[in-house]
Amino acid sequence: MSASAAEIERWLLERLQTRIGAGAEEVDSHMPFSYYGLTSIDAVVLAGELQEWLGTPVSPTLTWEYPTVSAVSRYLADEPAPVPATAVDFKALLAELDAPPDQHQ
Amino acid sequence: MVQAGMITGFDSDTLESFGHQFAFLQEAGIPMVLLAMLNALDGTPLQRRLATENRLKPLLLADAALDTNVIPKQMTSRQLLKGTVWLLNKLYAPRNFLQRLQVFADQLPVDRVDATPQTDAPFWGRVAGSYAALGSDLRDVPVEAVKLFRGRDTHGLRTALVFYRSAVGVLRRWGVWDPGQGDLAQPDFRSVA
Repeated sequence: MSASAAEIERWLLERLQTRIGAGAEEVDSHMPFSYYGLTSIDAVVLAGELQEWLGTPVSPTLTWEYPTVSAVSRYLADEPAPVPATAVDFKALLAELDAPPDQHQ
Repeated sequence: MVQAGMITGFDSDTLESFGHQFAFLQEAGIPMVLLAMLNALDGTPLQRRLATENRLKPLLLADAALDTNVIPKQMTSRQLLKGTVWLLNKLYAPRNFLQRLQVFADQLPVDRVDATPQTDAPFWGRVAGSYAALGSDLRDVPVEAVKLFRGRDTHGLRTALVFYRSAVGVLRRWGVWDPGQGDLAQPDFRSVA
């Protein structure tokens, strides 16, 4: 199956929340896995479950290189970090560099 | 330009230390900061001491900024991680980076005549483009930074901008970049055991 980063993130957050308990602190996708007490064994198990759910190979050392839910989700979905489209303000930058000191202070 | 390497999780550190480290770096005007949690390397006296105190644990993650094999002394491991992630976001929040640049720039002489040529269009074009790729909240950082260095040598600024762009890129790749944390005056330890 092909899942979006948002779908993978939701799956991972639910998994982690179940693991740490419903009454515990809400899982934050930006906090490292180690924060939630995962061990290396847990991480390998989680990678296996992810592989089964996605139906695609997942490295057992995934969390070693991608340390948060957010990072894993984007990596597996092959999506770059979400950034809004924005224009390059190159002219403004050069204008600032070229401005004489007495116009700056 | 000075670059600082900071460590969290020393035995003397308390929950207040994260805020103290942030305040120090802002006041000192050190724009480039590397941050990691204390780790005990193999064969070091620190590792031997912590082993005798039963304060070593296995690593789960690759990077020392986000994981440690040390069990901290005056806080829990979760508090250490929460505080460290807060400090990373706080230090790299655009306005706080610019504030450190301001302090640094204020220490430089205003001497346009002797300054390095200010315009290097290819370099600044790459800077502007790479920051624009980060989104609207970071796009204007180079322009705002250059304003702080009016009439001053921009050697240090150029290094700092490249460093900062790289640091933010790493935090995003890790999935740790969370601008909301940078708005907090202190780490939120309320729900952290």
